[in-house]
Amino acid sequence: MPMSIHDTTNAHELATGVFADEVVAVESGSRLADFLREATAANHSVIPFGGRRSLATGNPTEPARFGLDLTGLTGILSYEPADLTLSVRAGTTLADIQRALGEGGQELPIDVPFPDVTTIGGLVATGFVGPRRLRSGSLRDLLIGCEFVRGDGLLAKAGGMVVKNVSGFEIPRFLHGSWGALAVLTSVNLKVTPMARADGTLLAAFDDVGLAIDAAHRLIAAEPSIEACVVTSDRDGVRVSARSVGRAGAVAASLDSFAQCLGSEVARLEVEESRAFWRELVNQYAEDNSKTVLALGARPRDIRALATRIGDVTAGDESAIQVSPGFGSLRIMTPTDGEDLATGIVALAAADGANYVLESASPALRSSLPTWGAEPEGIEVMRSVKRQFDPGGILNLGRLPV
Amino acid sequence: MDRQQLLEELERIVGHDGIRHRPVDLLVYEYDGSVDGAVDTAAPTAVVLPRSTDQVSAIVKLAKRADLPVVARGAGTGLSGGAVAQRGGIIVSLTRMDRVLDVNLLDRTALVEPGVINLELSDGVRDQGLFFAPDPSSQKACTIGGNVAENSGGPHCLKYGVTTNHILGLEIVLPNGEVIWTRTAQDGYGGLDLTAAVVGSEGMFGIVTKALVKLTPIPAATTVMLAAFGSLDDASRAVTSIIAAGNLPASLEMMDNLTIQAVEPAYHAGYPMDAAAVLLIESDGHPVEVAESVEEIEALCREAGATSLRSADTAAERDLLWKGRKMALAAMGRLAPNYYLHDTVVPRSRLPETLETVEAIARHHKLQIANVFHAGDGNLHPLMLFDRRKPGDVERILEASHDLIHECVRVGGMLSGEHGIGTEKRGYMTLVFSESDLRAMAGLKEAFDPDQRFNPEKVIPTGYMCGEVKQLHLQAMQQQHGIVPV
Ligand SMILES: Cc1cc2nc3c(=O)[nH]c(=O)nc-3n(C[C@H](O)[C@H](O)[C@H](O)COP(=O)(O)OP(=O)(O)OC[C@H]3O[C@@H](n4cnc5c(N)ncnc54)[C@H](O)[C@@H]3O)c2cc1C
Ligand SMILES: Cc1cc2nc3c(=O)[nH]c(=O)nc-3n(C[C@H](O)[C@H](O)[C@H](O)COP(=O)(O)OP(=O)(O)OC[C@H]3O[C@@H](n4cnc5c(N)ncnc54)[C@H](O)[C@@H]3O)c2cc1C
Repeated sequence: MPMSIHDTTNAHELATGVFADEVVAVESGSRLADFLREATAANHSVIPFGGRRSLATGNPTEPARFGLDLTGLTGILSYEPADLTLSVRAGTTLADIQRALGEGGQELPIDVPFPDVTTIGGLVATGFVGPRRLRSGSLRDLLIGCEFVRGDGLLAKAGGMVVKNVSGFEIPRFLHGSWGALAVLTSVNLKVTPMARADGTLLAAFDDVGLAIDAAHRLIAAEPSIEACVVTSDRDGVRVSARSVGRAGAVAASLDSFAQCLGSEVARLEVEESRAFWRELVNQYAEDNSKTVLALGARPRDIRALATRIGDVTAGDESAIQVSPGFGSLRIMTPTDGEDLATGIVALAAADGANYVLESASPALRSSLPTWGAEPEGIEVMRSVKRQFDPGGILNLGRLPV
Repeated sequence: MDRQQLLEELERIVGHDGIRHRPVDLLVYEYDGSVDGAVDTAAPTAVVLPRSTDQVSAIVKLAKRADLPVVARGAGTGLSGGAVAQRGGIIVSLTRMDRVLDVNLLDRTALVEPGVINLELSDGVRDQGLFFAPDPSSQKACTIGGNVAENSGGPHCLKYGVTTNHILGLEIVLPNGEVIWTRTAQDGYGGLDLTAAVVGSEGMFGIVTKALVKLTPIPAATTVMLAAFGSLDDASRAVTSIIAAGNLPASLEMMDNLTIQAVEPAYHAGYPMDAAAVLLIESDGHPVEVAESVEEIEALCREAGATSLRSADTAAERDLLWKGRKMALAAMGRLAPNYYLHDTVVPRSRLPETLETVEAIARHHKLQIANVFHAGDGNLHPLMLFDRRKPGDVERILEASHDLIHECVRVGGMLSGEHGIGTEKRGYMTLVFSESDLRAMAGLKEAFDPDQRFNPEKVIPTGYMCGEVKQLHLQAMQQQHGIVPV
């Protein structure tokens, strides 16, 4: 199938199959406000971007008029270790943030693929949920405020620099996962946490995914302070990886009881090894955008059946599956030419009442399989929010079904 | 539609026993838990008590036809005037929709109706090793629907987060009567996080008719510590150093001497009567984790000048220590006939100076102010004692709260940590938000409720809604150019 029906000879390719006629950079909120106001008036479409790690996710669109480079919008605006709060410009990379927090003995308790390029604005916009959601929550739980520019150029802020706040509507959390389709974030305020003193992971091996998921459910039920628990099925076979963070004594004791509860122990990873393991785990699905990656969500009680049925379809090929049974998340990566497979999985998931997001796919697959799955309930309200925030409809066409 | 016809149609929806409209029956609905004077009271046209989502939807559709405002109401314990029908209309009381529909252990969720009482939910799942983490001090009375609308907090929110961190989805009735389920960020979900918008929207976006809430596993070990201090300053420095040293207790509450004077004689919780302040510090988690952090926190308290330390490991001992805190407001009646409970929040490192400011404000206005609050979050609850019958008392507490809010904002704080804006603090919104900020909030409201049907006259000050901007503009045209709209 031809790459694109659009003439892109003079366009900039921002990510595979995503084009803009021109790329502009902004370094301040007020400049951005002027820019978006004018773009709305002129009906110019805009794709804001940070690290571009997720920019290819979305339904195919015509080239945008502008690509909006936010990677110059960097720097920490305020960091008060005693308050456990941080305010940072949206283009700042995760690595820079974690480094600054590390000096204060603190961190953001999230694992992020490719932290050297991934920006905090992009992370909030895409709303990815990592394995630590089981106990520490996700970025959504850490957001306490932000500054943003709506599609129509209105520069505004919401929330604040306090950890508990009900002064006005919750716009910051609402923008989490909005894929930049409503507003461009210029800075975000976050609640940070003390850095875990120790970190440990236990790996256990299983014969099949169903048994592994059962064991994971049992472990989660038995261990109220377990940090993360993931079932993987890939080249290394079927595994349960269970993580504990906290004081050294508690982590060591937890890994012992994890091993006992799971009845298997392949490896025990301590501190740095454990951290690296989880970094690698999230990198794995985000590193190669020639592969097809589908994210599925289901209720934890239904995740075993879903994973087993997917396992039957993919048996014997190069696919890899990652399941977080505790909160019903399943990610599957199929080889480059796995288009029929992806379509099959989507049909299977739909029959089980599970929705999907096509996180990575070839341009061809993206034109045949809608990125965001079935139309969500409440779409009319979502569309009317879109009209309020971005009346010209210029921001991020093809991202989110609004 | 005339009043009689409205009442008949409402009765057709909710049945004879589901409607209140005689003035004497409406009286109690003119109030919520807030202080008369800080918040205006107002009478609704009618109150209805539906039993199902369908009924709520039908009521809202009828209100739309009759062009009447609709105000949702839970237990009426709100402290910012949220459930008062400022412009009259129909109050929808959700207290009869009080069933827990499903609890699932694998999912760790409960599907509940909005009228379920907060504590009853936690009590109902405790045997299964779970609890609902948001625990407002009003938890014996307040409803999940009210918690969602106010994004309520409580002592344990320091570690576990506030209501919004525990809501996975909501069934809501929109202002046009349509019923939808909202969802939240999750792998495989490609849509906006409407749940995030609705939680904390003070009943202005939708009426919650069901909530899918997250249940939290009860930790393996829990210890409650009581630390007494000779000065407020020592106690608040202890708070800062506990947090700064990398501890995240489940809760970290402070009570000052005036509070102790009210509480101890009533409940005998064991708080030293001569302490200037006590901290109630709960640590939970893995037993090894708890043992080590308790040791560390004790050392930090001593360093900060603690005069006595006590810890409780058994449930009975812990409950007694907590009883004093949980019943603190009820005990205030021993000190004064009325109190005004304030709610502001500051960055935690500004706590010591803010407490000094509160003392100064008390002196200046010749008021007694007790402090009982969520110190770990920087969430202050100055409690102003007064006597409504004394002329000038209400004015004095209002002036003092004006000063207090300005001082908290000056050190980087916000208007409310958990009680909401309602009408109580609506006039203060421009103190922390610019015109653009308020327009952005108004835009979100407009997307859900273009007719301003749900809970009007709350949160957003007058003049920021689309229609109002047009109206102001027309007025200006009229004044300047003599142009009169037709
Ligand atoms: C297959 C795949 C799997 C992944 N798995 C995970 C995972 O498990 N965990 C995880 O944390 N992440 C995951 N990611 C996401 C990855 O971390 C992304 O890099 C990150 O979410 C986006 O950051 P970015 O700076 O690269 O944003 P970009 O890719 O540049 O932008 C992504 C989207 O956000 C918008 N955007 C960017 N900046 C802003 C801003 N300031 N304001 C408003 N909108 C903005 C863009 O317009 C675009 O719609 C995955 C990505 C892929 C492709
Ligand atoms: C003694 C006392 C102690 C308190 N302690 C705390 C505390 O520690 N932490 C805290 O956060 N708060 C506290 N509060 C405040 C109050 O209890 C909370 O705000 C509570 O969540 C309100 O619940 P409710 O059911 O009483 O709601 P109501 O007062 O009836 O209503 C509050 C708001 O919610 C809206 N609403 C109610 N139900 C629904 C629904 N189903 N759908 C949509 N909107 C709805 C109403 O319109 C109104 O705007 C306290 C109050 C008292 C009196």
